[in-house]
Amino acid sequence: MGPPEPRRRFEALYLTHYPAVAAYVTRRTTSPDDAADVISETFTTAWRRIDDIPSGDEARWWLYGTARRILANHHRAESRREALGLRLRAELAIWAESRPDQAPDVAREAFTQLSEPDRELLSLVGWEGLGIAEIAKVVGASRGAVRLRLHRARKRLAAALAQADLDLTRYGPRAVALAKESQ
Amino acid sequence: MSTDIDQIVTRLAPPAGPGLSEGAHDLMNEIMTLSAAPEQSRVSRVRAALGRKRITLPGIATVAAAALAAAWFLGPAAQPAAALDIRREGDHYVIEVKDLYADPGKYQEQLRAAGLNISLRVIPSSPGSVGQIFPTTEDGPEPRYLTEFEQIQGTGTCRKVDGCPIGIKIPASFRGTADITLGREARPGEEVQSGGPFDAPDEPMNCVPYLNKSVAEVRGLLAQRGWAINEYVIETGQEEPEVRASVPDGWYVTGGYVSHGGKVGLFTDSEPMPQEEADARLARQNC
Repeated sequence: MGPPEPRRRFEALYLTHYPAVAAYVTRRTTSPDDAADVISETFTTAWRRIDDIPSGDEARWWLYGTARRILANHHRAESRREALGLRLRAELAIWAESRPDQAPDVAREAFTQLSEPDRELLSLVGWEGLGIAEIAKVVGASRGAVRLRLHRARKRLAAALAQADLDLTRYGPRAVALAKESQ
Repeated sequence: MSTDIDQIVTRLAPPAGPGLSEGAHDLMNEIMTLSAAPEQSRVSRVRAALGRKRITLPGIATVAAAALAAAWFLGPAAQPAAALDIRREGDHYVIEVKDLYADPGKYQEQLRAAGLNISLRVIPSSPGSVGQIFPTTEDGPEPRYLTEFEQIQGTGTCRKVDGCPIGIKIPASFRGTADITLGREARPGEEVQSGGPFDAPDEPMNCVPYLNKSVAEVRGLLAQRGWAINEYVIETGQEEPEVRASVPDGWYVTGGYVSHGGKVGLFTDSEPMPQEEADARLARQNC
């Protein structure tokens, strides 16, 4: 007899998807406390709703989507500090201190100046490696809408890079085409 | 398939965090112990009543889709690379490339002796990307650019967007795996895996006034410098520009890139670009 079914499922879910979810959250928070809160709340929600979570990779999109909503609320109002995850909080704080500052460069500056929705779509592709179908599940929009919004976000980044005098031919024909299109 | 723009974003990814740590295991147990038990949803109650088989456990998430990281820079080539100078400086290893064309076996041994699980690969590059260093890792949920590897910039002026590194600093505490690519000159006809615009510093058309000249004229300018045209790119207004083997000789050239050793691709248009734009672009090269 192993542990009861919900516990087994949750453990498997957690151990499989924690690294990806923690990375998703860590990349989108500025303080280790915020990161620990959002990770903790995301998985607490997953535990409470373990029966609603789809299987396989779909579970990851569900977790990203949940983390995304919690992040949005977290950004709006400084939420209470969770009592859970004290050790995780300490680990993330140590890790954050040892993390090197990211060097400023033209591309980073241009990316930072995009709107939050644009950055979100581009980073789901560039950081999490998601495709249109997965993003649609994470953000709760149709594939067509995601495709269009992503195309526009890419165009805006290409235009911002072109404006920053970064020669886009360095990045290949696609980037040049996008920048020109957006002029 | 990722786009060029997506690769720029990938390079900007902040570090992913410490992963499945002891604290993360603690949190898992705390949630199950301290939080309210799972709500049994209506759907699951119905399922249970019907004796439906449980959903199978999630498999290990694949990272295949995430292999886009730095795809522009990475490729199958694994050619002999440079001999290295590795030395410890405080809490870092400083690695300097001493010879770009040396036997890679030597420095691979050196890296292993230093306790670093790092592979170095030399990739065919355009002239301006020779010597460029690009470190990535596949540890963690997605491949990522290793921002914690600090690049050592050479002395003297550097006009390149990505800098002019002569070596790399690796934290001595680094215990993961890493893949570092290093640009070398592409052999004649060999496809370039790392390159830039052909008028960037150290590239064949740097400081050559070619913009708005005809394809025929630019072909001549290139030939004088030992370069041939491999392909032509045409803006179509669509997301994907069209690549052709030939265009009319009278079309105008609006840019280009090194595609292979000794070969370039040209951006072309049936109409010239505004002359002010062409002048501004040449002026920007600070020739």
